[in-house]
Amino acid sequence: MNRLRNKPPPLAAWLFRRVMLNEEQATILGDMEEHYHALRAERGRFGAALWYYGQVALSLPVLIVHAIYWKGVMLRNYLKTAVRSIARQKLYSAINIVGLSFGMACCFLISLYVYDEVSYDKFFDDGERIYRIALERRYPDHTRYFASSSVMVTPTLLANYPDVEQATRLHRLFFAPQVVVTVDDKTYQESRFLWADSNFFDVFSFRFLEGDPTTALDAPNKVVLTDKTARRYFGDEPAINKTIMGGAGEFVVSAVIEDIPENSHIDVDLLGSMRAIGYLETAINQGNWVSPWLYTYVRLREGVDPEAFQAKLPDMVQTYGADQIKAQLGIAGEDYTESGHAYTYFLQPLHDIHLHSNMEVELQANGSITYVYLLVGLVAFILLISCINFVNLATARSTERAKEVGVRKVMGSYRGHLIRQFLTESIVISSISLALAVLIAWLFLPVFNGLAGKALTLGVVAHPLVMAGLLGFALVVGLLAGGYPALVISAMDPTTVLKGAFKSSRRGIWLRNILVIVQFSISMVLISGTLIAAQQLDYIRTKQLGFDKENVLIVKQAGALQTNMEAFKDELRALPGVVGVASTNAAPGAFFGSSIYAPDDPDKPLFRTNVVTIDDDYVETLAMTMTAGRAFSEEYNDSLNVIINETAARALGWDDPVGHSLRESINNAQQEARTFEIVGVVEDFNFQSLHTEIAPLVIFNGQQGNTVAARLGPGDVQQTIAAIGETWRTFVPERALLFSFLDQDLDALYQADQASGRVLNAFTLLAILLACVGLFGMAAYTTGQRAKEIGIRKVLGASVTGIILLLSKEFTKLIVIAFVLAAPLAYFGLNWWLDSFAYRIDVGVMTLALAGGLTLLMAWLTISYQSIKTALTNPINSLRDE
Amino acid sequence: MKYLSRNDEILLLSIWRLQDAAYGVTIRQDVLERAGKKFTFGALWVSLDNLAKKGYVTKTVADPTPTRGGRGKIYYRLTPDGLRALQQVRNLQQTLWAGIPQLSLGSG
Repeated sequence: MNRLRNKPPPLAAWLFRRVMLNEEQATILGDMEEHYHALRAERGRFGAALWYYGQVALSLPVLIVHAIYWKGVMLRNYLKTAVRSIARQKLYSAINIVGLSFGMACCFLISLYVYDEVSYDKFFDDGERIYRIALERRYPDHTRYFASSSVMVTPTLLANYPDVEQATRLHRLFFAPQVVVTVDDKTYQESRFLWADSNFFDVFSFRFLEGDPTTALDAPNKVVLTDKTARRYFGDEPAINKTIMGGAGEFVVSAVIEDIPENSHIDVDLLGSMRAIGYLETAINQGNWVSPWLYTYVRLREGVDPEAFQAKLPDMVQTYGADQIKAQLGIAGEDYTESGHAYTYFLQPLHDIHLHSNMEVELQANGSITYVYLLVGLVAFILLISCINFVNLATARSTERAKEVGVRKVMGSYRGHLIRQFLTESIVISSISLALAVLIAWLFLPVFNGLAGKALTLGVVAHPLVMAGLLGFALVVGLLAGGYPALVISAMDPTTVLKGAFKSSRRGIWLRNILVIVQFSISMVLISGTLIAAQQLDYIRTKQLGFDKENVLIVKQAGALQTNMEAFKDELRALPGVVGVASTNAAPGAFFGSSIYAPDDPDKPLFRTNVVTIDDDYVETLAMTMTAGRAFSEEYNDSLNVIINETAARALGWDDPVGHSLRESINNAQQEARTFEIVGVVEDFNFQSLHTEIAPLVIFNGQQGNTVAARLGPGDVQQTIAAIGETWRTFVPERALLFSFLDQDLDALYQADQASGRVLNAFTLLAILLACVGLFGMAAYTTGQRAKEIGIRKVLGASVTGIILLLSKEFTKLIVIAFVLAAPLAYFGLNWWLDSFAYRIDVGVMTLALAGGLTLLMAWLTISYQSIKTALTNPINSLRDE
Repeated sequence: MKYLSRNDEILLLSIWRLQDAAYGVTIRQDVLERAGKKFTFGALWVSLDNLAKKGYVTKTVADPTPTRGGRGKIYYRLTPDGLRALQQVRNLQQTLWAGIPQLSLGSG
């Protein structure tokens, strides 16, 4: 008979074996098989097989319940022992728990931050199909990237590209972002008053509290408010159909939307109809493809490949915009791209805008993925340091625990049980740390929010998934940190250990040393990072900018003065605390427009440059220096004269630009292109953030301007400001003076850098503290181990200082090695960061040395407590028990 | 003082009776014949394992035999604790029943 046919059903046996938990249970299978054969003789093959299946099906649940029950009993035992061991070693446990919980708290906070950063714009419906259309603008000599695009892109796409389901435009007032809104005699300064197409809400699913999304923006005089804004204006009264005055016109509130979450790149308080903005209407009528004045958002149809769609965009510009571009740029001939100009539009996924887009004219200052990576790296370091502490302390204590392990083994413990015992211990510690970490994170959240400029909450912790994640996290940390010590200690040979010959294994010491080196390398890199960041930010703050930014009061929105501008300036000059007064359309740091000019030398290409308008007194008031020619002056009519900066002179390639001229490059029937003569060259000054190099600049003369700059002299600044405010009131009674100080405005350009600097400082401090806590614990154990040796040395006449030096020597060696490893790492890492600044300091050797010195000092201070204590101990105490 | 459960008592008695021949198949057969209780092999093993963990029986793994598909048997044996526990429930039984008048079934 076939051997196989004699066997019980293989499927059932296989199932049983899969679930079987230990080898012993295989005997059950044997019992069953034995009975199966007996039954077969009696009931036949089918009956026996049926019985066999029944046995397996009924046995498995019982076996599983049994296994779980006994696992629970063992676990209770492990837990009990773990808690006792933790309670017995108070100092050790405290160091571990404090270290781990701070590490974990950091982890939480950073995770919250990172979660917030990556969650930007995720709340919009169909967000994965929404893209912003951004512009790569190539000029003959350089390329610029704009977040904005031409007014023509949206209508062209809607009319000719079926891939596009919907397209809409959003506009921000670039030059005068602040709008004065008047509601029932009260005035408000609104800096988030944006303007959109009537189909805006078809693309962006904002929730409407009142009003109809389809008609909310269908007339030029309609405005949509956020809930917050509506409450600010009208309290609890319904806002709908109320009238507000905004800038020059009257608006009717057509709808109220829910407040926009913080994590959106579209940050808006009031949304008006784009048709209210005159120059946009003009641009649309002209078919303007040249000026990137607004943001274009498209929602592609489902199933459309964004890459393929993007590939069609250059062709769109060629087909629909080439003629207008040629006319506007003043280029004759077939193809304007031959002269080196190009408008290449590309798609930015909505979800990527916040972290991946950093172009000109962004809607708001975006985050940076680099910074997110940096933080994640930092937190990984901190967690690593705390885990290393754990491992170090555990291995340092292994001598102590070796006896315990020896006794346990003699009593019949398996190695597996010991490993489980130690792992339980470390998981208990990490769980306690977890609880503490949540508390710490909660305590420090406001501080962290202040540092990072966010409004994060710990609310997510209550989410069951997050809870499970946290517990899993504690488990993983416990396993990671406890894994190595568990393996090493449980492997000890009981006979050696109990004879007392065991001190501490060479291998353990090596590992410990390597881990200490890693910790201090990290600390050193972080310290040098902190020092360099501070130096760089200080450099930026104090760099010679080409003008004097101190004591300059900036009057914003001075356009409200209208024809009284000159009179206002004259009155300010008469005030005692004011040294000089001038006006401009854009103070340094503000938005500088740009334009295209044709040099009078026909061989030279068209010239794109930033432009600004200043009055006769500006150069003197801001203490700029002329390197050639003259500044604007009352004695001349400078309306057709310009000053250029040194960079512009270099770009134009003229050694002596004074006397040359630039012609406007416009092609407009109503307007004739004007020609400007260069009368002077001003020394380069940083009119934009120091992240970017100084760009070419052409300066026009004009007495009007939206900004008045007043240089204050010595004296009571408060009084002077009050006096300026009074003067303003006499000219513009309906609203108060809006002012700032130039140096503060410029500082604001580096807010993101300062925030990263502050966060870096805080976490560096923490990392170093944690490393020191670990070192303290280790020093406590290693010096404890050498107590006898030191006792003997003292008896033989060693001095206290000698012993302290002896004890410090070993750690010093480690820290020196750490320095050797950390220095190149810090050097390259920091150079990479500094490369993001156009104006930067160098990573100095002195700074690295300082970082190393600081680390060493801190390590010495940490271990000094232990070494001094040991060195001062009376040798009788350490030697009496032998 | 904790007494044996009836289940445990039945199993221990069976092991005691079978002496050197007490392993899964024989124990199950014996319990079925005498007490009419039908164990699955899984449940039987679990009950015996619990008795072993309580220290009432010891397990000895014997070499595999071909009729068992190459798997070993576990022989069970009573420990002194196991015997004592049996003694206890027997004493309890006797004490409780002593002096009880004849029980009669039904209305008789």
